[in-house]
Amino acid sequence: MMTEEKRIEWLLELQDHPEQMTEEQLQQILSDDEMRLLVQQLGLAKRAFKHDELKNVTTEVDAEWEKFAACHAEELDALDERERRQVGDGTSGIHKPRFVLRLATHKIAASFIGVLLASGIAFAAIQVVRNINTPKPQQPTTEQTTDIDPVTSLPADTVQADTIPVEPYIFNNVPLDSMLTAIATAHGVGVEFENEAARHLRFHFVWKREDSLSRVVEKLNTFEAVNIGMEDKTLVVK
Amino acid sequence: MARKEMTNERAQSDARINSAERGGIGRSQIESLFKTHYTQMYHLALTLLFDEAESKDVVSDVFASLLSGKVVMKADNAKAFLLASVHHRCLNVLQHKQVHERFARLLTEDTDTLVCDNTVEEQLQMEELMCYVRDNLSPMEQNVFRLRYLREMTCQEVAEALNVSRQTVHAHLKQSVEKIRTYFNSNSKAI
Repeated sequence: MMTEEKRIEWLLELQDHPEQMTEEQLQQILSDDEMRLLVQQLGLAKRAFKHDELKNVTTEVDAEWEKFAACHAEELDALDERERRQVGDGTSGIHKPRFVLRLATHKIAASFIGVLLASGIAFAAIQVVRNINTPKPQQPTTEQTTDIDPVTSLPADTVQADTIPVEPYIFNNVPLDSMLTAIATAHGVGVEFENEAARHLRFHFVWKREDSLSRVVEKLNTFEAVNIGMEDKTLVVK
Repeated sequence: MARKEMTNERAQSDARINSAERGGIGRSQIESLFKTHYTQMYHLALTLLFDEAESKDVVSDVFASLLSGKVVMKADNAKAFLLASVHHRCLNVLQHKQVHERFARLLTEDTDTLVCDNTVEEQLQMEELMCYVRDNLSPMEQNVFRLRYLREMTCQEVAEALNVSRQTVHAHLKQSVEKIRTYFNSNSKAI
């Protein structure tokens, strides 16, 4: 019989390397009632953390509606048409202008989406070119050693003689969301996304932890898709 | 009630019912339902799937099925119906994920335990747990749990992000898990 402590240790270890198990082995591990319960309880805890986090997040409902309306324009127009017919000929005159107006808003929405799509493709193309130009390292550790050398020449006033250099951390194709959370946590500040879309932008970024927060932000701002400001102990992504 | 509607949804996928014949909903009602309930539906999906794109798709699909007339909804319990539909669809998405992925990402492992359609009760349960977390887990323990499971970083990545050793991360994580476990055991919270 496995002790509680051992079980938790084991779970943490397995979760760090799930690829080392076959599906059958995993099924077998989870057939243990206690283990299964532990995973379920932690699953609920994860949901609770997420639920808590979402209280401070606002959703752009109007924008989502516009997207939905544009995707389902035909069905929505059919509903309009039906409503109009149900009201009858006598009143249809009142509804017609509204219908036309909606068609016009669809066109506006559709053209907006077109523009967004085009800029999205352009951005993706830039990303692809950038990725090609900066080949991904197979082994982050090997890159660390090769990367450090050229950049150790930090301004003399920022590095004290007795400081032990900290190895830089490499974010390889990591969403801005995760990256900033990690950086902000290390500097004891918060993160706020005014620009929700920026959360999912992925970057390759070498984080030198001896850099001051303002220096890190300055470096991140060199990515043209990113605009981060510092407001009252919070990093704000605009 | 919500459960009944959900089974309705399943049964009606092949027996298509024309909503117009039943005085179906119009564009303005769809728009108003969307704008009123979207946030809650999206948040529910996010707390099950933890993926923004997948969650948006689920909510969108629920409204699309209303539009198509495959599903008929009674106006008096719109919220319960919409949330139950989101719940049901999320569980479907989860069931199609690999066991490995569900295990590593702590996704709801056993869909049988999650047929609770009462989202209000479930939310209360989560809020109670978070009260316990705030009172009993140190800020560092909460942070480590958040980075490891919500941001889905490995222990090594968390260690590097927080500039501490991997052993420290492991110790904090173990503490958090033990405390969460104690909460469930002491309260004998059935999930």
